[in-house]
Amino acid sequence: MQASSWRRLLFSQIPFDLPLQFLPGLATGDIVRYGAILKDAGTGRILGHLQESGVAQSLLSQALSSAASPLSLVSSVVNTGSSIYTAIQVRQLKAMMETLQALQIATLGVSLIGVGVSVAGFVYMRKRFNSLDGRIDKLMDAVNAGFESLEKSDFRQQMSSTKSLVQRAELAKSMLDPAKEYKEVAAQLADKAAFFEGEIVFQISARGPIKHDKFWLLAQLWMLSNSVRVDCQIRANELLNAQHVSERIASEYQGLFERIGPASFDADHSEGRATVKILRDAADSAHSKPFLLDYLRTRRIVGSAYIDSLEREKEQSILVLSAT
Amino acid sequence: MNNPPSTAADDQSKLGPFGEIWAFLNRDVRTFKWGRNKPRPATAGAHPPEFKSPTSPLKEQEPDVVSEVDARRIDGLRFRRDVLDWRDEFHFNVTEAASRAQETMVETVDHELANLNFWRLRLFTKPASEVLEVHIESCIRSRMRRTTQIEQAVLRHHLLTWPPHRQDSSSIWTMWPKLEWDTRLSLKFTADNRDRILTVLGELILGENGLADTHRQWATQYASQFLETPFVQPNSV
Repeated sequence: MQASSWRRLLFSQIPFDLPLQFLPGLATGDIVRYGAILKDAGTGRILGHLQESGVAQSLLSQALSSAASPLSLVSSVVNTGSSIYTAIQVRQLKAMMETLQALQIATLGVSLIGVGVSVAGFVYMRKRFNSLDGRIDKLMDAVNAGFESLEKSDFRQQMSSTKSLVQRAELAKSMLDPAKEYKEVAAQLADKAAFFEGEIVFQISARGPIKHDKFWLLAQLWMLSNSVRVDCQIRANELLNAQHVSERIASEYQGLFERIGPASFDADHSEGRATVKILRDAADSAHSKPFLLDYLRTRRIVGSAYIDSLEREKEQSILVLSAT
Repeated sequence: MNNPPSTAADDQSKLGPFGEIWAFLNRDVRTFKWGRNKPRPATAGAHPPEFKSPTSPLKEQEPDVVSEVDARRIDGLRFRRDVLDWRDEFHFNVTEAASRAQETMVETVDHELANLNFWRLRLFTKPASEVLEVHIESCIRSRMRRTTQIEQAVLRHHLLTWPPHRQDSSSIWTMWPKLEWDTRLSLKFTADNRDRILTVLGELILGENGLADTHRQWATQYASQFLETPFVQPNSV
């Protein structure tokens, strides 16, 4: 199907495009990408916002969760893809990976927090939390993992209440007043995110190298909590608040992740480099989120309608919300 | 009050008592509120009041939602990422070079120990710093110097794309702490001291405030100059 007719049919209300038309500009340098923003290099004007659809996360969620370390993230996606997915899904995964590479998104870091606003869907988010939960057990039992017994129970409690909040968000849609529930979940997730952030701060501030495995786990939990939090605010159509929250989150990522370098960890510096690259991409993606939310707000696009339209998309994994 | 007497009042005085009662009964009740001398304004020629619909016409007049973001900020964020990428790569490459140097030194120490004769090992022992001096120069110092030169070229290239920092110095300056190396490697170069020598070498090369760490600290400080100062748009310079 022609790109223009596809756009007309599926998203008559919201101006979506396919990334394909931006690729030549990106290759020549006429268009530059920062996080999820595509920008005209000459005029500085924002041309569009990259946005993943529900397909992307349904394809990636399992592979991302099964990746034990940042270094194995991409290979995990490719290898898992060939073993567990149907032929159609493998084709979609391949196409998505090619698009991501063409868009010069070198790592899958942005996928951890979502390209654009997260539309992973709470089902996939919960899957990821469950997968991380499984890894926590292993990590807690590992020697020198850095978990004290008191800390273990506190951590376990925080994990289960976070999972329960994601489950509440998942079921909110069927309520009489979903917006109220979304706001409530978002408020409580802010507390959970603050807990994980506090743990990361403690890890970074402690003397000596940072315990890589624990840090990586905490960073994922922190970013996931924040993603669900913003997602809830968008579904509640609290776009201005979501924008302000996203700005705060981006500055928190910047403040913490910029203190870390490839040699900051107790792991091999190659693993450290892969981790840092993902964190940098995630921070960029977080910085670009307020721009997308501002665009939705100023164009009076209803948050829930925006996310619904993306979740309904079954073919294209990456779209561009045109700003021209 | 200060209003001039109306012509209607003059007419009423001419009607007599019955006429006044008749006129009173025929008065519009609304005129009581606004004063008996104020007659209701004539409707002929007056424009009807404009009634506003609460839905659609209001929507047309709704003010635009004001954007709260500044697209020019993106250039600053991209610059920041560029600086961080340079810093990360510098950290990685320096650590990589230092790790390789340390591995080579382990092999060198073992090789030297294996080739020392009995007298050198037992009686006329030398400090490790003296035995390893040449190797430290060739395996560590020159290797780090080479890495530094490459990183200097990379930095120079970056500076050209970071206006207004084009003229900034790209010289990487780190001091070689000879005294510290000599002092810490003053251990006798014997087979018994092998593990201690290797531990000291590891600390000097990869440990806290060691060779790699000093280089990384330099890059962190250098990058901080850019990260802590507000980004200036190239066209506003």
